[in-house]
Amino acid sequence: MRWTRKLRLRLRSLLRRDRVEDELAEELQYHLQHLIDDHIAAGASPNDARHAALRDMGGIEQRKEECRDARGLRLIEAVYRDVRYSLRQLLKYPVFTTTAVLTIALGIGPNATMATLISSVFRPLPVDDANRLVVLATTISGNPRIWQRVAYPDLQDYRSSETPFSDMAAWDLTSVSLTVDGSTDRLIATAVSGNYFSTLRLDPASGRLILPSDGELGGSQPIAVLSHSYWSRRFGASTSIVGREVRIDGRPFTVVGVAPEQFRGTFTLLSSEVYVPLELFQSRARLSNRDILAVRVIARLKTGVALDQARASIGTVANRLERDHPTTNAGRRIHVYRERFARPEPQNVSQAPVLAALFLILVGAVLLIACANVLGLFLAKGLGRGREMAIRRALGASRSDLVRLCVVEALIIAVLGACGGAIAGVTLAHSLASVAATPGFPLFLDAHFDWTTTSYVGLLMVVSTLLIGLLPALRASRVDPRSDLSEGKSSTEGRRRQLIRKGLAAAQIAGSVMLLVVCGLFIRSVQSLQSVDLGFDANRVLLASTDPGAIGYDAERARAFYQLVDTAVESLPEVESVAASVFVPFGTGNSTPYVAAEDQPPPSSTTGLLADRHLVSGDYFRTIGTPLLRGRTFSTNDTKQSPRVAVINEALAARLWPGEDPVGRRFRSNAELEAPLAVIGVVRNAPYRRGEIRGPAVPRFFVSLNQFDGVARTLHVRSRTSAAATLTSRVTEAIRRLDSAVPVYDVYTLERQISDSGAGFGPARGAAVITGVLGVLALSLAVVGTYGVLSFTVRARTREIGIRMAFGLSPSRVFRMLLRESWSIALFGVAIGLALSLAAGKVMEGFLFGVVPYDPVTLFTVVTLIGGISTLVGFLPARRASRTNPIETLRYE
Amino acid sequence: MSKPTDLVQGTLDLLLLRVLSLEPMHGWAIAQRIRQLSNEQLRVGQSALYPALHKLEQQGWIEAEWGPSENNRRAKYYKLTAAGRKALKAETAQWERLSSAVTLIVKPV
Repeated sequence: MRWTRKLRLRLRSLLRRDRVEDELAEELQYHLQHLIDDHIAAGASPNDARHAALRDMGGIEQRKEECRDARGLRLIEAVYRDVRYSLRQLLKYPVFTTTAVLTIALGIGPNATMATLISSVFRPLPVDDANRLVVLATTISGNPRIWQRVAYPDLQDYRSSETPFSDMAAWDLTSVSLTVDGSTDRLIATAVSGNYFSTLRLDPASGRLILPSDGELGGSQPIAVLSHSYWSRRFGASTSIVGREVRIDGRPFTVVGVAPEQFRGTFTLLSSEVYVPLELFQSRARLSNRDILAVRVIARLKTGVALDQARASIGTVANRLERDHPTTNAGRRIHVYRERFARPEPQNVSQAPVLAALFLILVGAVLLIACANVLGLFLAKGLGRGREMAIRRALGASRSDLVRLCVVEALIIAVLGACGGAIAGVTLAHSLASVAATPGFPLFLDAHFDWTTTSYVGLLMVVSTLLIGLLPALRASRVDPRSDLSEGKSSTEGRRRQLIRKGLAAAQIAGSVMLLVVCGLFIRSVQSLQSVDLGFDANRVLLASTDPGAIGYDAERARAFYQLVDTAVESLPEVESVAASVFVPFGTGNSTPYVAAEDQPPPSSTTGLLADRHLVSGDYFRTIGTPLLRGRTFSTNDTKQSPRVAVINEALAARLWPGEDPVGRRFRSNAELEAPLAVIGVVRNAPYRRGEIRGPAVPRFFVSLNQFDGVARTLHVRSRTSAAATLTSRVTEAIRRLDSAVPVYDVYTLERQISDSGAGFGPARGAAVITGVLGVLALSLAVVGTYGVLSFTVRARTREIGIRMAFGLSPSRVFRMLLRESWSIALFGVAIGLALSLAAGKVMEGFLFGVVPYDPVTLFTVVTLIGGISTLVGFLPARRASRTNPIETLRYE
Repeated sequence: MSKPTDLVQGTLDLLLLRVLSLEPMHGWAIAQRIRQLSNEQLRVGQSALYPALHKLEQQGWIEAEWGPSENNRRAKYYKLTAAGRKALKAETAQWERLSSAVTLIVKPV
């Protein structure tokens, strides 16, 4: 209560200043009047009485000042005055002000963008007590990989033991076709256990959520919960949605409710639009197999339990399971990570924060360069201001008054720049987030201005204020009125000041060298990724996904449909061949069972070999351009009734039967345990995963779509020309003509799948673009800054140069002398910058492909670039100086 | 005659609060009342009085209101707030402790 009163009083003193001042005057006047009356009563004449009273008061103005002090307003008033004065000053030099504000905005902008993006990735889930949520991940000893899934029987054991979790829920992502009113949407769905929503402690926006009472695995009733965004988008947020029938992957489902508005699912970077029971999307056999890591797990720590305790007690159970189930659980460990940092998946837990920090450092460097630039401007301006400061000092301003004035000026620049930069930066983040979500790659980032970003930008604003205000302030505080006001003070400044300015320019160059090197390393990574022979013709192949199952086709009907599609598309004039598969190279979907040769024990996680499994049609290899090295590919004779066959890659052949001919041999996979697969052919190794590029090839085998059902397929259409993208509309039409209700989606080239997708080169390319933009921005700022410093140096040294020339120094030597100065700044900058880049390169080593952190090509290019630019930048001021007329410069002084 | 600056730090605040606890009054009257009450021993100069009043107002111990004075002019009347009353109690206790302690020392044995 009391502080509100105080605040009101202070505000009143501040905002109704005139009123308060009047009252103060009146109060003292009243007192004075009494004194006068007293003196008159004592017999003095009115005039004498007045003088005596004024003497008694000892100066009304002093009394007023003391009262103002007592109200604690002197500082506020002084700052207020400084702000007004500074604003006037800044308005008087609009070019200086605009440059400084824009520069700070350019420095703050990228920081605001980056902070917004990072904050949108690491924002806590919009659920109750989100910081107690953890995720589980599996590792197997001897394998560095982290699996983001857990075997369901393991999860059941963890749940029933004395664990530190109050709840553990299972879930997984899947993409589904949702059909309603005759049209189909491809959506990201989350298949959830019954306790998923209760673990998260969410309440429905409408209807109900999937509940524990529906069943441990969400129940066998076909029910669905829609996301709030999909509900609003597709159904206009109508409450009559509850109880409505929709088809999901061709099966009828009843919508029972809508998830809360802010909730986008538990996989950051994707927005889950529909929630369905896990039981209906994974087979019982898969879920009850301890050897299959089937589900993602999110759990809630009991209150008062620390993460380390949780890890320890999970470890104890893991040990027990290892003893109880040695065939499956030998060497299997479960890891517990805080959900907020294990994004998007537990395997990123060690990388994502490092990457976030790296990018914050890079954008921070841009801000530092911008601040150095503005500081340079201030110092250059400050030189002309020494006199002003000296006069103020002589007129009675205290040192702290001068310091305050300088800081207030810097603060105004920083506030304006920060506001401009933040608005632009957040807008950019917002549009980046929507640009990133291209068809086929539904990246979702909820980029909006939040408190984290606001406080981060606020912090940066304070830092920039100090960076650009402190040095001029210190200098102002050292002003000595006697020497600074004296006549004829030389305007050639001391070595120290020159050093500071050159140091600033060198620091700017150092920062841009670091950014350019980092950018160069990312560009080289993309280059090196793209220069690799992928073993297939990506730009000749158009992908098109279809899902006849969405509108109720069964496997038999779908097979007949695909036969028609095959004929129709193949008859298009530009098409060379057509094939189909279930998974796409560099796609997110995959199947990785354990395999073992037939004469070995049946494959399990402890006895088998992990291999990629693909379902493809017979002309798949010809279509994507992977050569068949031995044997044959699938033919129409390989049917459901004939023996199961497989085509394997060289890597699998070498692992299963080293040095032998694999054709005709048989192996088992735990994805189809019922019958062994006979090898009919061997294809060349071709990378389907990023890790395989310049790394070891992953063992891979292919089975026939004729022998195994895959209703949702991706057509691979090989074009006769190298521009497969031109086929897009014709292929889509050809499929639609056969059945217009079958959804066709994700139609783009294999080239784009590889270069843009998250599993492909998308992240490296994105990083290259971002650092490229930052690098160019930093370099431009540094060029402007260096140019400013050099031309200022020339101006400040006019007299010195004039004298030297008068003593016979030739113009060409003046020119060389100043060019050398530019080079020496660049040299220092480059040296420091290279050291910084090596450190940055070391940090980002894990994100580079086929490039060492000290990549000579990158370093050489950057050094050459900086050398060239610093010569250009030094050229103009040096030429100006060499044309100095000594007589004029001396007269000028 | 003692000048307030000679008074122990904070004593002026106590005097002002005490005087204002009798009735609301303006600055001049406060000075007169202190002189009267102290049998002309204490005189509070303007240079200390008004800053002290403004400080107390800022602290929320007293509040000001404009009203007509005895000679029919507008004067600024100060009166004690609830917080001021509490502060007066605390300050009085403090003063009593202090003065009795000083008396103990100064008193001839």
